[in-house]
Amino acid sequence: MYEGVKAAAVYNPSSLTELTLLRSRLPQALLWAGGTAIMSSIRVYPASDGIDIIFLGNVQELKKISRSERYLEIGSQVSIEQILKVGQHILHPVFARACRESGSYVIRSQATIGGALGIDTLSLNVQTALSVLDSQVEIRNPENKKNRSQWIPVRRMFSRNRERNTLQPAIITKVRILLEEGDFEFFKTVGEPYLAPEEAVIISVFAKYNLPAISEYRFAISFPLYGIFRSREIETAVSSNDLPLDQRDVIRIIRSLREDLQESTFTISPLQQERACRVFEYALHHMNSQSIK
Amino acid sequence: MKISCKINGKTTVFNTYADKPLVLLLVEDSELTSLSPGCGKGSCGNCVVLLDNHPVLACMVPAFKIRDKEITTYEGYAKTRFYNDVARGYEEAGVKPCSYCMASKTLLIESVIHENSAPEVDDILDMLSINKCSCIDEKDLVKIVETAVKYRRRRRVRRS
Repeated sequence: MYEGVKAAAVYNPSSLTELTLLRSRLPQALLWAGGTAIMSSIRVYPASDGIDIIFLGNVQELKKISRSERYLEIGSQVSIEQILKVGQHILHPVFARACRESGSYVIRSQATIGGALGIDTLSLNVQTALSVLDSQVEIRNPENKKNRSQWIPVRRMFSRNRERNTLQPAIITKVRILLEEGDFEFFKTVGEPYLAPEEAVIISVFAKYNLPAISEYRFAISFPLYGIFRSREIETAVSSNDLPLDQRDVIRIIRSLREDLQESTFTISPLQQERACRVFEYALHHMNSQSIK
Repeated sequence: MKISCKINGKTTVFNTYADKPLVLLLVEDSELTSLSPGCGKGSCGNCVVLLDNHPVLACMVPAFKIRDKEITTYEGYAKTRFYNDVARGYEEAGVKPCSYCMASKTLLIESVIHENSAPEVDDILDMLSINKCSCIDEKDLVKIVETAVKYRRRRRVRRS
């Protein structure tokens, strides 16, 4: 069974400087964060490629959480469970729910936020929630001579054309979440994003309103295998209305979402399309009912 | 790659591949029989072991992560006095996990009571939800854990 298997070399950097140096020397090496995604699907042992592994778990700089008045900064090696414990009073409900539904305690303790963002085959809970919150990630590109870090919005990592590999060989070092308060936050997973990604849909919504006007409406729909769908036109269409939304407006918005999904580059299944439209509609009604309470 | 760790208190050295999953190390390279690995990719939750007293799925832990760590499997745990608390839980609830998931469920129950002295129903179900075997219903699982917590508390009081 193990014939022809090449042993993987594992590197254990203990500081960010060491990690960056190592990454510039080994741009093709596998970055190992929590390892939940790698061990479950992407890489199946025994692999015959003998790829190098850079283990990020010992880099102390990547394990810090800091908070200022405006934002929360989370190191990429902080586990999802730790985020829930430390930030339970300040996390956005949409992000807290996305973290909680990422898996059971055992998985959440092992999976890291950086690892969740670094998966390039699936778009799951954390990415969807961070995308709708307009969060940013700090990346370090070892190919950059001055080794400067750069902040990029999470939504740019998951473009409609799935251009996620543009980050390679960069390293995700931090995630920055704005601590703005939303009046309506919604997160829903339909189906099993990890086990049956071809049928699952994840929806996040963040909205602010000053009754009756909706001042801001953002949403992200993730089709795990294809990426995250966002539409400025639909967001504007929703926020140009007053609350409570009229049934005719809801029908019009859902119709344009359906058309946009059909015209998008995603090759989603009819089931996914139906799920996305119905849950989006449910979220609109939910916002309506919350606003008239 | 040589990796040294402690399994059930006994120092063990493996000469193995760095990315070999712990579950395979335990099944193929040691004489432990309690694990019943099923899916090998974190779906069934039947390969729970304690790594430095924290529950992990052995199929999700590569060999390089167990260096100098302490691993407790069901065999080792069943010999400790803490096992009696969980065993009493099974006894009082009148149900026992099936032989397939006994090891994993027992270690998960131990983790609940080890990490939280007064776990709520949600905490219990969250921790145990990783094991997909449905041989015990949720109500009984909660009862088992609550009984085990009661006995563990008494043990702590006696010790203090």
